[in-house]
Amino acid sequence: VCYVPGHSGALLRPGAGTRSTSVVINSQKKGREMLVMGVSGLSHDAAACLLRDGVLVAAAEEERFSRKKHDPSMPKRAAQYCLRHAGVTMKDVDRIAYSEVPEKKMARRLWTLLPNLNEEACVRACSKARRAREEIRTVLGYEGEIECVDHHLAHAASAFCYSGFDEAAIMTIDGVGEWVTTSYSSGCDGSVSTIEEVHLPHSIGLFYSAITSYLGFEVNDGEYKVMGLAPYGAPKLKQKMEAVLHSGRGGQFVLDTRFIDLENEERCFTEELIDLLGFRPRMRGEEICDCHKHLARSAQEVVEDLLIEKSQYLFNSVNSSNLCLAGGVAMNCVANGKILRNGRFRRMYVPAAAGDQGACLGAAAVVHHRLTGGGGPKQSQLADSALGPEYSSDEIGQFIAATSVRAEDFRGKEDQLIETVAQMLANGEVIGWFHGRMEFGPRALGNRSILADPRDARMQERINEAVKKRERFRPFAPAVLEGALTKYFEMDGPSPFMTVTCAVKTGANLPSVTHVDGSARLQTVDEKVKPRFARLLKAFEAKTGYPVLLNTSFNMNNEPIVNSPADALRCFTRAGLDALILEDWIIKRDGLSAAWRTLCAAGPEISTPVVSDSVYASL
Amino acid sequence: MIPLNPEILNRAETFAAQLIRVSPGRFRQLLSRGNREEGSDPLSSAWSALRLASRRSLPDNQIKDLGREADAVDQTNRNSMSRHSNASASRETDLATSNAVQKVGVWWRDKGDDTAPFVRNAAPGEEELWARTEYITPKGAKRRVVLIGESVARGFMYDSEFNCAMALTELMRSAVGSNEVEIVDLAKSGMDYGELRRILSESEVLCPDAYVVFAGNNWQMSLRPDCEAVIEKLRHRDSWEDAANSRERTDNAVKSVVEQLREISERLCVPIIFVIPGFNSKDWMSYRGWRDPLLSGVRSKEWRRLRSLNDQAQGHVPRQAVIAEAIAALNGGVPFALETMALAANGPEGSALAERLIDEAGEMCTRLPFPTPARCSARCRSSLREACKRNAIIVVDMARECTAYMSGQLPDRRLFLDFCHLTADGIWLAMACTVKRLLETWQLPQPSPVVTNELVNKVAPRVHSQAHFKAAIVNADRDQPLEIVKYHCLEAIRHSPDMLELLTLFAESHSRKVPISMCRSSEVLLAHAEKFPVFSKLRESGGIGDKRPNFLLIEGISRAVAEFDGERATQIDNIVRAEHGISDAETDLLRSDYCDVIAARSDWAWWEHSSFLSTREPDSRFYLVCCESCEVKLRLVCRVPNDTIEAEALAVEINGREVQRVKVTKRWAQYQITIPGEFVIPGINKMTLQWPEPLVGEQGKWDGVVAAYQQVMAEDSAPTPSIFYPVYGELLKLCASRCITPNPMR
Repeated sequence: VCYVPGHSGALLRPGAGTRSTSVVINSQKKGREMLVMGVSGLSHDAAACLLRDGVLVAAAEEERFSRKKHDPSMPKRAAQYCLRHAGVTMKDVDRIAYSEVPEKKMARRLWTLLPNLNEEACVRACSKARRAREEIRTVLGYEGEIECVDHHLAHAASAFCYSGFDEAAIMTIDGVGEWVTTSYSSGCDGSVSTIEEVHLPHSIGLFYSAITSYLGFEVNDGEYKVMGLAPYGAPKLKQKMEAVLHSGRGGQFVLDTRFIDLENEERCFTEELIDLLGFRPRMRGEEICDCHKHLARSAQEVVEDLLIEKSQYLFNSVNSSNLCLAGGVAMNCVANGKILRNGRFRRMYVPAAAGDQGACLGAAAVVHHRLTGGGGPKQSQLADSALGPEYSSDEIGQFIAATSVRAEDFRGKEDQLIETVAQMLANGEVIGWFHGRMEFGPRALGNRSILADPRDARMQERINEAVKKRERFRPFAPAVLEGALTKYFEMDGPSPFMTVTCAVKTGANLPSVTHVDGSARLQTVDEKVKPRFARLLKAFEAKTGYPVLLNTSFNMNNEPIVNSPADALRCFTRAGLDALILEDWIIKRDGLSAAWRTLCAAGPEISTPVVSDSVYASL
Repeated sequence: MIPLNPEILNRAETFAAQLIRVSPGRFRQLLSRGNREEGSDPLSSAWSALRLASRRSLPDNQIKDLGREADAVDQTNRNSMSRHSNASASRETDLATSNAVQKVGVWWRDKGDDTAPFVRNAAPGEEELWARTEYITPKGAKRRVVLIGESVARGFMYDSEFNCAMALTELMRSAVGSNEVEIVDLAKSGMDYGELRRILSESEVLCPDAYVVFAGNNWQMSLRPDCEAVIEKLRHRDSWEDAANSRERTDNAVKSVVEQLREISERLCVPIIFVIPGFNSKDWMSYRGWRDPLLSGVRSKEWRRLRSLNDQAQGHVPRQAVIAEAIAALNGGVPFALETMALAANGPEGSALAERLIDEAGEMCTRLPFPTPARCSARCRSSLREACKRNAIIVVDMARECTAYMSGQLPDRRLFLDFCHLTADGIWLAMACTVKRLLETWQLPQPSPVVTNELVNKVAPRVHSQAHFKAAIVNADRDQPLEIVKYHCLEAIRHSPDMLELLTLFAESHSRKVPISMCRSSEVLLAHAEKFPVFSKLRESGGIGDKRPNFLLIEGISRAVAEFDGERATQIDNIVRAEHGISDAETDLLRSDYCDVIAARSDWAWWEHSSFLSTREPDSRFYLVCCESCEVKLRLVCRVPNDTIEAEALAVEINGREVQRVKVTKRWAQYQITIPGEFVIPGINKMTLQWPEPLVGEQGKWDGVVAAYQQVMAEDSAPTPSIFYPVYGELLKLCASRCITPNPMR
């Protein structure tokens, strides 16, 4: 079984002297270049991307610029970045592709409100429906035609059109788009055909959100925590969970709405669920007890079982051994790993931004395909999610010169830089690593990363508590050189986006990246895609024997991943990092003056959430 | 050594005990603050009181125990609260919602315990707004004067190192001795009309022997018009002035508050002195863009033409005045025109006409449908005078006192730091007049105080220096003339030569693209925070979002510094050019650094909500920094709200000279414009885009203003200027780059 297709020859490599990442969706040229902007907005994780003649030239999430996590606004800054990167303005854009159809969504909202529907609610729903098109005009300044793409079609295209597969089976799973919560499709020659859909209220995403809120985590943010918590528990509540969510015929399944509150976006469950579970919901900040862990485990298993079953159904429906997954639920890397291992697909592609932020990529691909009439050369695989802004070493040098920060200049001395950083990591230092274009999607993949030695058992606790200020139970991921993958992990195909978990081999001795159940959510590093990061892994291997690093996103709890050097410096100052590598510059902690720390540490205090020590007993 | 006055010691002990009980958190804060404030005025610091208490009855280790006890009590409270649903609830919040406490503003005590002091307990957002009075003890033998007022009373820009309460204390002590009178400062910056009335009621419990109320500037802002009534009048095509209905509102507000004062005065049998604020008539200029929102298209066009002529006549006051008269005749709702005329009318001996014109300009500001800088309008002043006279409230009329102090001249920068906030001279003057009235009322035979140099010099030079530094920032922020900004910078340096270096560093910190919190110069400034506490604010600049340097301020600093040290000034100019100078690559002029929307508050922070600048001003202003005189290439993507104005064009001006006119359309279109090198000066250039007049018919104007009022009503928010004016033009892109290398022969 192979995770992603091996035909990397189709990858478009950056041009000489640049680090830009490009993916051809369809290279059919017209008289002049065609610009399609994909937009996801007015929901969590707003984002924008730009296709130039079918080539994905830029993509970014709004939160990275606004510094508001999961920013739900119209992504004006992200759009501006994409245009700036391409050297064009909104005037030049041929189409905006919006990643949902507001009118359909309005209909669904009205349906949801039906029992209590009144005039005010109708007006509000209509106003929300108008808002997307209005804001594309009034906020983004776009004058041309707007094409709205069904949300799940956008998700499907975001996986298939960038997968590099000629054909594939596609499954999209999230809370809800317009009406659809899950879709089964087949992809061929750049187009996607839907086979079957599951409609609201039956939703795996809403089920998971309900459990997330029941466990006292924030919906659309804390789902990772439920997944991370699950291995600490036992599936003692699985039967009860199956009463809430269970399979149906074909691709269908049933979510019992007696237990789910469809109207409440923060507390997605009803009193009936409390009665069913027999313990009260956990309040935010409250200790995590055994019952919470069991609930997380049980919900996770129910979702895994269902996804495996439905992927089998899809396999039987579509004549393909390739699977594309997208939608918020496809961020569940544990489930993804099980689908791959237990299912019948030979290859699987999950985009780096499988959630709503990534839907803009799919919408743009669909619209580009419509505008060009399809056809054209085969798409190539999106090999790297580094589609965001970058800063040159010279720019960073100018920045540092205006500050009191003492930094060591390694411009033109990459070998020395790599050697120095590898030694620091081998010495147990925790490093902020800022290099190249910012990643698109929730994962830091070696461009805006915090790196550390995975062999040190205390590293997980140190980084969670002292650096990231988050719950101690949350696991960290390893980044491994692609060539050394099988030596440490039970996996034989590349996993560039950290979207799947696998077992860590016995005796691998990677305690800080091995979760309590012996799994790891790994990233494989291809030296052709990420040459500097690969060199760092090799240098670390030369010193320690391990081409593996702990890799976590460069941010603190509840903050977006850093974007600019200023963001990185501030995070470095506030977090307990030992050193910061800003492109070719190394800044050590003692390079910061006391006054600098006073000035930069200002802002709201970030404290580690309270979690019972019992959770860690099995660590 | 602090004298051990038994009365103070008794009070201090009581205070310490009460404080621990009422607000242990506050007690702990005071302990820690006290460590930093050691040696300050023993009566002004709660810490000193605690120290005194400890000297008498508590050894050092016991005062530490008190602190520990406070911590323990505080912790117990916190634990207790965290067990309940709202884990973050503080004891302070608890107190605020409890019926068991008595409150005066932000000062609290247990109800029923008249021997307890009121302890300051301000919410985080209000901490800096209220007077620093840490506690108010029960009234003793001294006569008690309660001071209530707005930022003017707080001594904005001087506070907390000097303010009206301190001046009043000093003057009263000089007049009647230190043990005779105490001043209780309850002033609050931004205190609005409603808050004033509330605190007047609450403060009766303090048993004052006299009140001093120094307020009126903020009333226009807080007395918003009845939107429904305005809409109704507009629908009936009433004139703008009638629709705004400001006179009636002012009169009613004044009547209500003065009647309340009379009731208090009668009930407590105490005199009340109302200090009616003055205004910086000579040096303050209202924003040039403010106008009647119903100005018709034709008149609006003429108004713009005249305003442009007025700008060209800069420095020729008589000519400006003639143009201003034409503007005023065209449309009475333009404050800056009348202010210009007043300047012309203000002769060496002063002029009643100038005063009248300034008053009228102020009235116009109050009629605008959005908040303008605080001022007590002429109508408000006259209404106050009459109402106070009718209700036996004693008045200190600062407008008149200032004119008298200035020997008949219009009040200017000598008495005002900005539009209404007083210099130290102004504060002493206001309080000297107040003391005079108090002495008369109390029939005390002491001579009335006069403002002398000796008095003014009681304020430390560094305090003056810091106030002028703040004034430079405030004036630049309000788009006042460069000469005023420079004046305050010069004064800052004159009072404290250290400021020469610090202003240079501040200009650097402000000019660099690096966030302020990360700039090397900010660290040096922070090291001077002990002497100049204003720099401690840098600690709060931890954000790294868009930086918005004010080039007017930077230029003001540079020019002031140049008068003392040309090298430093060159250093500032070089930094500005290095950081912001245009190059062969395009510089985005729509970035917050270069887009001058500070004056045009209608466009404030447009980039927060839109990808393009939608201007409701007839002109959009930008700063263009050039390292030398060179041709500049502009790339402009813009549009106008409708394309029916075939004959109209967008005019691009640089440093007041028109460069080119381009026909603009309803849809985005890109234009390339070359600015000849001879138009460009090395350093900071001012570029203006003059938009064509939008075609909004009479009906459209009325409908637009009605819609704006409806928006204000719907959102229940403070109205912003933008909603009352039509869109003139929209900018999607404005980039500048160096066209060619400069001609060495030029």
